[in-house]
Amino acid sequence: MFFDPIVLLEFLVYGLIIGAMYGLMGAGLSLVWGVMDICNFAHGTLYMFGAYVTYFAFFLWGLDPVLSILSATLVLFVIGIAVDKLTLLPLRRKSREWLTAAYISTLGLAVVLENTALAVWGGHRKGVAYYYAGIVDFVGVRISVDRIVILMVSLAVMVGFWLILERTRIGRAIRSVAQDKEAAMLVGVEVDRIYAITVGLASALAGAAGGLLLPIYLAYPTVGQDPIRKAFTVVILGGLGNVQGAFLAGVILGIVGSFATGFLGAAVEGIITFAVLIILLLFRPTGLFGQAR
Amino acid sequence: MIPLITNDQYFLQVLILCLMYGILASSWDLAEGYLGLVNFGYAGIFGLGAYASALLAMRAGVSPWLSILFGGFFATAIGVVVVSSCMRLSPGYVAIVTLAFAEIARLVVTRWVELTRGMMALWGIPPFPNITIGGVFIDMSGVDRTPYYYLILAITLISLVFMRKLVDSRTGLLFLSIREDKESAEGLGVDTTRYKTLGFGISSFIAGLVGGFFAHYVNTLSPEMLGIPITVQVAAMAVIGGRATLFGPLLGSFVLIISGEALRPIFEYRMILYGLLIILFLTFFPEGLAGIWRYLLGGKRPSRRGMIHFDVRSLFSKITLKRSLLNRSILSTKQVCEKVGNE
Repeated sequence: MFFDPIVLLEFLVYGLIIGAMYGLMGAGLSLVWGVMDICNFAHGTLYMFGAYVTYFAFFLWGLDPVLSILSATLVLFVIGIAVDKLTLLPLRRKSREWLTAAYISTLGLAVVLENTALAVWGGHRKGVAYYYAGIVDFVGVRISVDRIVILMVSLAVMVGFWLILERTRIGRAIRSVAQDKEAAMLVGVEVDRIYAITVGLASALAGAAGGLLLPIYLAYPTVGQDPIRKAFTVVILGGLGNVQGAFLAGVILGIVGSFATGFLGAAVEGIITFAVLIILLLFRPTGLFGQAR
Repeated sequence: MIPLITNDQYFLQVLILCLMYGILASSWDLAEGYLGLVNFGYAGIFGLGAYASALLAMRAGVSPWLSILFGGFFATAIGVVVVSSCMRLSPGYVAIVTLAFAEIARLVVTRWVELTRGMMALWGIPPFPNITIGGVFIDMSGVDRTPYYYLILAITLISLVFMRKLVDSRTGLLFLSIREDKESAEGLGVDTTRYKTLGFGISSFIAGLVGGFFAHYVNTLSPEMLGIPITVQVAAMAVIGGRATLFGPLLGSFVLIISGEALRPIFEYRMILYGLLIILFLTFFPEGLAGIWRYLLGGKRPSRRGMIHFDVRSLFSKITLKRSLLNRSILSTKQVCEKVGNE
């Protein structure tokens, strides 16, 4: 085990990138959870679609990488709204017991989406080797331009999302529904519309994450399974409904995981995440940063 | 019964699968439909029971007749641990924790190659040894799988009768009260921890027992038996058949497996179909096929509003218990509690 600063910095950068992706996934999931009280099990498949859309935008339409990712974000926003209107809305209309039904339904949806992708696109991995060629020399350490760009865009997306939540009317409406649904209705917020937009936003984030990580995780039908497991952990680590907390937690988990994998090998990776999750749930279910409400 | 009219091994094997998944789905429904505990780690418990039984038989030479019981108890232990970590959590958390447990179990089984042979699959699991009942010799290792059919039939019937009695008893009512409104139930003095552990434990025992049966029936195990697709299949059967009934999931199992066999050509799209059916039934037929079945038998029209709801306070008022397997109104209130306070 060598503590070569170059290797350490590589772990760190990689960890930051993966962490940013976890953060994006977790932020979206946390938002849906905070607003609607459901855990969207189909979130991972939304990531997967984001990766595929980015891939096709890049190769079929020849868009440049950033535009490809943006198109994935937009497409997934629409898909997210559709998901809410088609699967969640009918359940809400049914009965007050819609929560357990919703969990099972989102799991069913995840299965449908994953296997449809398998049937339509096949199981082999599609991807890009890199978006931008080139290596940058940074205080004597070489990092690929790709990774820096991914990191910058991830941060930009996160900041954009935060701005939407904090500074726009829609964002205020979303936060109000998360705090107190009945009170929001009293002041005239259309809760159903907000629910749809929330799912759309969360899906857009997942789609962006999928596109951003395309050079690293590639695109294949089950690519979303690992991100969503990490997202569960991140959401709880950051505190339910606490979007900023989720993003921070994601970055932390990414960095910790990167170093753990680097020193202990890939075998422990999945187990560590789940073990962290379970320990958290047992001893500190409110997360590191406390819940939003 | 059935083997009296046919010897067709294919038919028998399909029946065995139907029964096996049927009792699995029913016991999943015990935890989900009656207690409100959404167990997304069910396959993990089933698989661990299977591996436990198989390994005990293979490494320690224990007879499968006994090792499946051990599989059941081992699964119960795991189940109790899982449910205790979920006690104070909301349904969403329960779903995730159970999912996490199953995935960890699957990962452990996959990586602990010295014990389980991991992805290379554990083959050579001994079948049930031949036994003699009342002077009749029963060959369990032959090509004829009829004895296995009778075995799983026996397991299914005994488990169903047991669960039915449980659900119709006062304990069953308490289960429902916990599902409906945990806080009110606790306020009325119900020890929710104890009943959740009981229900989940029984559900796990059955899963482990049937897992053991499965191990000694197909003689091979792989970590995929702990995977999410198995849980999804079980959940689909319970949802389609009708949650919060015990006969519904069994029906759902028969329907799904038989139609799966009949539609062999589209076998690859099986999972898509299961997922779609889950969504469709949850949305449009929450009472499942059991609800439709009852309606056909002259019962009430299937409600599209979901499973039955009870007011917890009225559950504890003076009630008459109407026992009826098919008639869904299992209780009627003679005298409802006067309202307390300003609710």
